[in-house]
Amino acid sequence: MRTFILRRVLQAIPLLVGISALTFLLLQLAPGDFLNTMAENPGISVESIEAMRTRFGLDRPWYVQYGLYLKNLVFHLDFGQSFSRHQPVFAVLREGLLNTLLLAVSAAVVTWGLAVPLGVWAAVRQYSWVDKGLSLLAFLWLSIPEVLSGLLLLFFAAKTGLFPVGGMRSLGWDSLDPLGKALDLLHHLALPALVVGMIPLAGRMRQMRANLLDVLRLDYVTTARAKGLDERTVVFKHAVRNAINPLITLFGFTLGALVSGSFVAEIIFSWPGLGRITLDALLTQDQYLVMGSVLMASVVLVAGNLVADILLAVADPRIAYD
Amino acid sequence: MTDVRAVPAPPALPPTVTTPTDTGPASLETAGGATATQTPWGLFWRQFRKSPVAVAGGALLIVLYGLALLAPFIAPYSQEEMDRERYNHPPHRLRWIDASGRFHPLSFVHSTTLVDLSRSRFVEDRSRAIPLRLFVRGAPYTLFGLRLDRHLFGVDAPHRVYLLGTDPSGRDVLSRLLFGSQISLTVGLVGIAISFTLGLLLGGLSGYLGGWADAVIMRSTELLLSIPGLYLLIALRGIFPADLPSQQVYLSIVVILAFIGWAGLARVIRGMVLSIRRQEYITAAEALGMSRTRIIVRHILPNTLSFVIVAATIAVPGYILGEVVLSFLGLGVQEPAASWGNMLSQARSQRVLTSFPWMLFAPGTAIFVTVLAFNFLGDGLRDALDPRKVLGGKTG
Amino acid sequence: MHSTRSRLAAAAMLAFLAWGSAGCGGQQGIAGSTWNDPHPLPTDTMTVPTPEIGRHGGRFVISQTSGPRTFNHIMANETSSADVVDRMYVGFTELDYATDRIYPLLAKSWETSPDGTTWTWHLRRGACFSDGHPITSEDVLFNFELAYDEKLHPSIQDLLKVDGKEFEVSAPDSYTVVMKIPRPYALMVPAVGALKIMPKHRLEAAYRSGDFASAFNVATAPESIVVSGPFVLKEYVAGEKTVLTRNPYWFGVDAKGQRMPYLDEVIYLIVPDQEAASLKFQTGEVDAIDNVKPSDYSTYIDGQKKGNYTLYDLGPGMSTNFFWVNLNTVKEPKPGKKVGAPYTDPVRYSWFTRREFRQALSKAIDREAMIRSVFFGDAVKNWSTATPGNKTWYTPEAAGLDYDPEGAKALIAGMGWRDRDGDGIVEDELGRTVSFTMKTNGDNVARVALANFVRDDLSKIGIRCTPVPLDFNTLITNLRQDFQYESILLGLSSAVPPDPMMGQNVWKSSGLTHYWNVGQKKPGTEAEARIDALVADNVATLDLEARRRGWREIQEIVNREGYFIWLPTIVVKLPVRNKFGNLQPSVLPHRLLWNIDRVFVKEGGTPA
Repeated sequence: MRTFILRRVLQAIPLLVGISALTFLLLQLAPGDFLNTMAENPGISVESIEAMRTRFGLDRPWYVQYGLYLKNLVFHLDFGQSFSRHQPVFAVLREGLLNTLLLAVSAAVVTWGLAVPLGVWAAVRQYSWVDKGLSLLAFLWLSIPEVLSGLLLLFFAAKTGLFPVGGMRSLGWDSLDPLGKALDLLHHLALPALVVGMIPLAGRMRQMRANLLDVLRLDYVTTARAKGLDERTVVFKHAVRNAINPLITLFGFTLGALVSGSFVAEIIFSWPGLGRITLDALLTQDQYLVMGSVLMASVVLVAGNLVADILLAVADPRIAYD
Repeated sequence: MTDVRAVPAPPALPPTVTTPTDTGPASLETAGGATATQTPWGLFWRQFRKSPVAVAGGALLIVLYGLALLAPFIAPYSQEEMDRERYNHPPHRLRWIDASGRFHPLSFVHSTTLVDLSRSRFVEDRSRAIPLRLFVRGAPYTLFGLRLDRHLFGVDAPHRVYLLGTDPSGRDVLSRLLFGSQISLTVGLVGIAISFTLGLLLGGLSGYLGGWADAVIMRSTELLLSIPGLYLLIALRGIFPADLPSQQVYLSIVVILAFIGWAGLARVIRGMVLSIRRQEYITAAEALGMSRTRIIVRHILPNTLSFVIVAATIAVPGYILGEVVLSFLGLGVQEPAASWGNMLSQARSQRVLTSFPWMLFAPGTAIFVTVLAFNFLGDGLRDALDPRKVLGGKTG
Repeated sequence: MHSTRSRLAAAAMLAFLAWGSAGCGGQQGIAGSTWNDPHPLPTDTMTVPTPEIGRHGGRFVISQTSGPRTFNHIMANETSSADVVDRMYVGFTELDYATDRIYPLLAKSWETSPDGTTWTWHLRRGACFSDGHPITSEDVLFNFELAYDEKLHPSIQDLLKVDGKEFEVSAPDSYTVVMKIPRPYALMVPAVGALKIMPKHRLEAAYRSGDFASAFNVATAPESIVVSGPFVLKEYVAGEKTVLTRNPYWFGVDAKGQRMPYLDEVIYLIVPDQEAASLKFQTGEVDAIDNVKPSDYSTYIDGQKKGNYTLYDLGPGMSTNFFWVNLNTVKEPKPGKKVGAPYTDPVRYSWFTRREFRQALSKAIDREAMIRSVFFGDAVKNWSTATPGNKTWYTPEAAGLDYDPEGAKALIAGMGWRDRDGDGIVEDELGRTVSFTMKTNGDNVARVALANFVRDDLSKIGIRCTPVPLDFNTLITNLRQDFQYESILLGLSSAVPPDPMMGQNVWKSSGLTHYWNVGQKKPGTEAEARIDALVADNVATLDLEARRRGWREIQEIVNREGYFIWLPTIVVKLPVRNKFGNLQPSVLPHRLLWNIDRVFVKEGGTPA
């Protein structure tokens, strides 16, 4: 087990280097550069622009730039400087990352929190109207573009006043007691987490249902029933636990989908996360900020997959790895 | 959004993964219980028909693609024509009985005049009934190489009929929706054509050849799959010079989506190929001296076919929604060309929601219905192609 | 000593009486607390002209689409930072938007020598930074050093030069600064006013060690950010909000001698999505919005009573929309390009250089239709960077070529261009189809719609124009660096003060924002040579009437030549909650915030 974890962690490192190389390459291919946005001001002369170009090292050949970047990253955990914000990249991203994680994890809670029980329910009532109805509802929600559902929910929030209109915290958040702070945060999380979490819901729910149905057909289940155990114990104590396993493999992938999905939600609900920063950085071509952001998002994903693999190994010793 | 890399779980293998038995897809042709008169196609069709939503989905898609194909004929106006008297015009109300009691079988509308510019309010002129006609002459267009000018329906000049109203530039929403469908509906098809070809090829090679080819390809997929979809999409979009004409932007979007889409499929195909490879009939073919290419093409890949079809159907919505997100971020197909994504993004405001809802719900519903149809169809296909369902009972 | 004491006592009594007579039992903050001025007023206070005497307390919440990127005034180049930072630092003078006059700020007075080359400025005695440290001429010298620094090269540097030479700045004593320039400079006062004073005692060390660019960045602790202006940073939460609070040492007082600003806090809420911002305004979370689309005006008008706010109609704004055709030629030898060759292809260049072509373009545009559609009627025709909203510099006589499709067609026919093949598009005299592309920034919905109208209008006179919306960054590359475009539709917003010579680089043929042909070594046409001469004269005199005449001629030339083809400018309407007093919204940038130091929460207004 320990060697397995170590091996997976070591495997992740070249992966991350590869990702950084890929993003750097992509940024080099992009046309134009960051200083153009500021060049739009009639008051600025060309000397100012050139001075900035030198200061940020944009006039060095690309391999020199990348070499410097990689060295800083590996030895100093320094992601570089954000040109547009005059700060180290890590400082800019840190807050954003935490906020995106908060949203993604809450969305995951929504997804799994709904997928597992609903999937079980659908499996247990296979082919009934409950089963079909749940399927239908999940598909319906899945088919609404996030852009539209986000707008409708935002509008709903404004009209009814039941939820805040975007944002992460209320203005008076600092003066609340810890419980108040947590509740306020949850209040703001509700709609965006809902929007994001519902997206993979259909897939996971059907997965759960299918897995449970598979498991219920197996011999040991029939044996358990024959032994006289009541249906509830059979289903919940034995079958569900085994049916969840394949879902765990999808955990990492789902997390990726949630981090991606929260991108759009962050913009619509003014959630101060990584997504908004990345888009901004891309449009101003703040090189190091974009690379740092993509890297961070990838780290989240790789870590998620790692966690999923470990969980799976823990949960199901039969799984053989070659 | 549905990630374009989402692929359904590979087809069922029994929970004991380690020992492949003869319950692979190949058994579809040899399992006992299948009567001699039942062809695979017949089995599939019978199972498929059991799901009415899937059938409905499929039928709807055929209709939608048909509409897209014939868009220039069905749309009463071109996607660029601007009616400078009627900005933000609501959908014309169709009526059948006019003021004098006469019945118009094809319905009629009233002409309108603007009464409030800042609120875009119009009043109807009830005195005149302007009947809808079929096959009216309108703006010329080219379809299948023919230059035509007859449109499916319309009204006599100088009147106009806007069944879904107009947008802020005075353009017919229905026409733009139809022309936009050409882009939005083909994004998926072209996208999966590219990504699935790549995925099948690379996944197949990877699984069959093994060794360094396998390693290289699998590492690449890991790389691509480790970057959250949208972040990769944004980064890739940024490298295309943005001053491309609309058609090329469209192509670049499709290419990008395809580029990130092949990885997921490749991995699954590889897994399937690995397990199929161990089947006895493959080793038999190898022993018989069949060339590797022939084996891959004639034996391995066809057995992935059912899975691929299902995966493709389920992947298309990811492309359609991907185009919507790109348009929302301002990186998609641009004006004046219409796509469902950019129509939706432009209409995404409170003002539109309260005062001009048709601008928002026309593309929104179109997207919704299409994605839903694909999902239902995919689901139905999956059930129909699932050997266990088709044959009934458990296997192995 | 006895008389000093009694004088002090009298002053204290007067002050107390002044406070007491401010109604409602003295300086009651909204929360019921009594506001006490913690520090004595400086010797030279500045009496701020306010419509009303206000009361202390309360807060003002405004939304921004993105947050500040830095709190360092010299490094702040984007609007999101400037909106915040301009409340934190002040310079010698400032423009009062309400009266359109420059008033003394940090400098209490100044004199010019008769020949206009020596300027002597007197600073306010006792003016302090937010940490109590006095603001002296040493700080001024330091800030000039920052401005002239070659490596930093801040944007303000070019404004502080005459004929390319820096000012000679000296400080005979702590409260006097003398500046010498080679010849009279019309922009002297606004230029010097634009240099906002940052604290030497806090920044010198960073500057000497080469670290100035990241000094006072968004990660700096608020207590360390020492400022000279009415507001100081209280809190910054990345991606969420910026909170400013009263500078306890601010030298501005109202007519009753009470220290300003009135507000306890100014909060900038970061809301990237305009729709969300609008909803937050409606739910009361935000008190004002600085940027509203004309399509939303009627919604805001309808909601005024219920939402207890007013939508201020400010008339035509200061931002413009226009397009031009690319006349740029290669200036420096480049691989594969000859000096003097046009960047656009020669065929198009041959059309673009014809004045009749450009005039036809202008005459083809139906601006009324644009006003009615894109702007829902809330826009006006505009023919200059000095829009009808520019009180001092608007010259209606210099109007351009308005909608005249027959005239446009006549111009086209006069060049021998006809539609020979019946496809609706004319061919030039050599039989080539007349068609070109027009780039614009895709994220600006209004501009994209305008481009669409241009396309439609030009098709009616037989010219095919294809809009190409793209992201702003790429557009700027095309605009400033590689000149790879045929035409561009863009706009400019105003500088403060809105003196046209603040944007002289647009009109000078050598200027880098002389968009249609950037950075010429010598003016390429007679018209441009004439403009150059007019600009030079305009900058060298202080005679307003002469300057206005010169400016009018510049515009007349530009419009006659069709260098810029003008499109409508929007009428600005901004919503602000009714509970505030002393609001004086303006069309000039920082439209609602320029006088935020005078704004107060009225009695009976809902508490913060």
